[in-house]
Amino acid sequence: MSYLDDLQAAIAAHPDVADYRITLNERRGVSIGIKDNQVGNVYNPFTFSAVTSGSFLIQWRDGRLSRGSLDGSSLEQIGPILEVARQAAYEDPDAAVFLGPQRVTTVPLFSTETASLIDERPGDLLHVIELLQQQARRIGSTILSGSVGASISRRMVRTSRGLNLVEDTTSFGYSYYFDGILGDGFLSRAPVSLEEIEQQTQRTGAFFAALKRPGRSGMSGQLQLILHPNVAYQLVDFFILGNLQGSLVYHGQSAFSRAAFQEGQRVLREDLTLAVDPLVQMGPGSYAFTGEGVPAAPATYIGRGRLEQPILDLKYARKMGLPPSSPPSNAYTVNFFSQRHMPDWEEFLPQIDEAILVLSLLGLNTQERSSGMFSLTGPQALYIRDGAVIGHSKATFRGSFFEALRSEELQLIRFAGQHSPGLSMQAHVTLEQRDEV
Amino acid sequence: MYEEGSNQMSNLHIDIYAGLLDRLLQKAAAARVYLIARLQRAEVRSVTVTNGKTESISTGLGQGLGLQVFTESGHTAFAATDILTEGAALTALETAVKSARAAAGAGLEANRAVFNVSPISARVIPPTRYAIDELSLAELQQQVETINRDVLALNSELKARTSCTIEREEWHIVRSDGASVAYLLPRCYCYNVVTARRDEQVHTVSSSLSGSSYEVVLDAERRAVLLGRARRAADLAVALLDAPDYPAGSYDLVLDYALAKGLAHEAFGHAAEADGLRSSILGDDQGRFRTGAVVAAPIVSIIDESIEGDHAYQPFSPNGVPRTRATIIDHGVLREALADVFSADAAGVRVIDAARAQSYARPAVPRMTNIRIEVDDPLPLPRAVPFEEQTPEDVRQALLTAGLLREGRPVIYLSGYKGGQVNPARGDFVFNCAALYELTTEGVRLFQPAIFSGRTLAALKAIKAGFGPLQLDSMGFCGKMGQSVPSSGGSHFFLFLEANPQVVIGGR
Repeated sequence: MSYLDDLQAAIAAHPDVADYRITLNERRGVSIGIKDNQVGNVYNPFTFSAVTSGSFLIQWRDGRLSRGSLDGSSLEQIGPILEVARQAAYEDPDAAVFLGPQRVTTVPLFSTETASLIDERPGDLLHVIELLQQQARRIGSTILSGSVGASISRRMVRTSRGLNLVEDTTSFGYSYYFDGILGDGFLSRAPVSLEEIEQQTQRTGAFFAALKRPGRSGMSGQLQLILHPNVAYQLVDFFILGNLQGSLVYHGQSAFSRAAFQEGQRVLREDLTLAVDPLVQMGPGSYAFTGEGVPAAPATYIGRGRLEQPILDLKYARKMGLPPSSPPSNAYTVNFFSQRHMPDWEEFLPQIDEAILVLSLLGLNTQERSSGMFSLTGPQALYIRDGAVIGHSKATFRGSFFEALRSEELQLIRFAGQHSPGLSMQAHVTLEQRDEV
Repeated sequence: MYEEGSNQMSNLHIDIYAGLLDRLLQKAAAARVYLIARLQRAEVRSVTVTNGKTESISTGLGQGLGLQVFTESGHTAFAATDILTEGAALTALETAVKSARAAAGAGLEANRAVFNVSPISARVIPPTRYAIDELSLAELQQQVETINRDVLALNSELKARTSCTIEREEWHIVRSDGASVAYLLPRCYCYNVVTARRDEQVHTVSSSLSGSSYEVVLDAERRAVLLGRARRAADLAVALLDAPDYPAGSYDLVLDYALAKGLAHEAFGHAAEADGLRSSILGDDQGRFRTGAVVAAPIVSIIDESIEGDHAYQPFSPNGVPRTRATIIDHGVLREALADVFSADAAGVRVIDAARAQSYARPAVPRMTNIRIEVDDPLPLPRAVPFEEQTPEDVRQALLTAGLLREGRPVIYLSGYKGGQVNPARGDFVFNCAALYELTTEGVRLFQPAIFSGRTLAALKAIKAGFGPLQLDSMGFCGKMGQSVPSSGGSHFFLFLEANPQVVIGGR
């Protein structure tokens, strides 16, 4: 009997339980970090964790529902947990969806090499830290912070209607931050080669080196604004994916109304598509089923500029009379692209007359999601003139993200090593009156 | 409340694991390593009501064990498990011991500071007005639905979401030196998010109230404050539908206490955390705190301390050391960093102990609790009424009386904190407000909110006056290194900042 078997038996045995869904994730992982040049210090030591997390949804015989969380010690407390859950029951008929057996499409998401890193060779993670240290020295960074880790997970969903899904995955990730001003992070299912990590850090390093030079300061007005893929995805996630959430759409708290979806309203330029593909082999965000047991499938949310469907879980799918859809799990599952030519950065750069390339962002969490309006600071930005990167500027920029994504001036740009595209648009930009780095 | 050395066994659920902790200490001693064992149990209940209907009721109960071991050389490793059996705990300990030895073999960073800490035995269970079981979840649901209906009734143009969460977090920390510290962190908070919409104009404004138990929704006085704040938010959300943008630029500013907390926390507190001083504007190349540096006007002090009953209450660190007050800035001069046991020596400061952890499963790191900006000789407000009843006109009158509002030189009053972000390495900060008012000698005009961004030190030096008493209940959650912990703080009702080119308001 597994832990889940025991939990399931305990929940099923409760006399008042009519239906249930149990979602469980058993995860083991190891990580180590470097903070301010100190490797494996007290804040970032070799860290091993073996933790279970999960949730349950119960429909009681009176039709009411309860939700709760689960962990590795829930079984020993299952009596009090169910007692409190019984007290917490409430009317929510649309959420009472318990799937029966489902046919899921499975893609490989497990790397035995990652698993062996955790169980047999955790010391190998130090090779990544050493490489990051070498790269930091090479690009002139004096203070390095970062981390590397690996994990193995088993995700399970069961229901009282016979659904029984299991998915084994691994994850390998690393991140780095040079001098506390510029960094990046990457995820994969299998460990990546040191050569690949070196390439990624060199790409960041090239921008980092350019930040050492002064750029333009003290201007304010309309300017070509280029968002690095890391920055661009943050805005797409916040303003577009955020407003596609079914619960917000249903409750009228999204920029996009229910009627707009029904009408297929055009909200982006006609060549732009936003889709989610959770079924990419060894994709860092891929999954075979959602936490509710809905089989994963590619989904287009905005197709050729028009709203196609909101992101719907089972509850809001039922409320809106639509099928549930696969949500993005991270940037790697999101495909935002244009039917028009998407130039590489190296091809795009020489064509620029004057622009600012924003590499990092502050303040997105303070913005009003449903308005689409942004007013943000890019503390690490590069001023570009006549196709050449000049140097560091600190930029404040503002505009309407929705309008920018409808504008003919918008261009999507491919950056090497990045899954998401960068974005070039016009915006009101202020460059701070200061030319030091 | 703090009973050092007390044998009093006040009730904590995790007391049943005392034997397991003893066993771990014995095993650690046998393995010749120093152990900090952290046992945590967290119970949470939450009700959310949207537009009059209960959206969710959720409950959570989680517990687990985090083990940080140190070799004699000070090399360290960490292991965590949520299975509280002797077998699982000892396996985790063995993993940590093996890894700490591997860290020593690899010559990783060592830190022996924990060997110099004095052991204490303490148990702190702060008083709470109501026990978590005082209300059934059905009763809590009823309370939250009533509040939501009251908020919706404020204006027919509104959508409203009301949420109330109560948490009871227990910790028991033992160390190899015999220290044993157990404490309870009780929290309860209720917030209202109101959205006003007209055509394509949408405005969302939130308000909140925190405490240690159900008093935030049950006690008449607290409930009136909660609804008073919701009323302000609702009025604002509707009024903003017709408000124009304000031109970007540098202006004389007034911040309310919530924004002042944001400034203290985001722009300054993070930079004072002693685990990252090498990459902070408040540290030098060697990671030492710039003690003695003049960073603000002589009237300005910034203080962080744990306050009983507060949202961010933290009487002890997860290292089992009492948390003490940190006077980060004392009348304009840098004095104390937010240092924990492990970072104080390198930073050249005393141990606060500022470490906090969201969960047993992660190492503790230096964090703020309740941080505030205090200004000497705060100026009076025209009406001695609670903050919720202070109007922009009151602020304008106070500025006129103080001679800080002059003909042809508007003062921009930023009201309501909508989050912020900072880069401590450069001292860049960005905040957003819920509303922007232009105060002139003629009157008050409302404009769309705009970001407030700039350089930390420039903003601090720009603080010239405070108005009204201290109000320290601006609550939030602070994220750092993947861990989110409750934060809070404030200032006088209002702070006045003189215009500075490195502190700008976004806008049109």
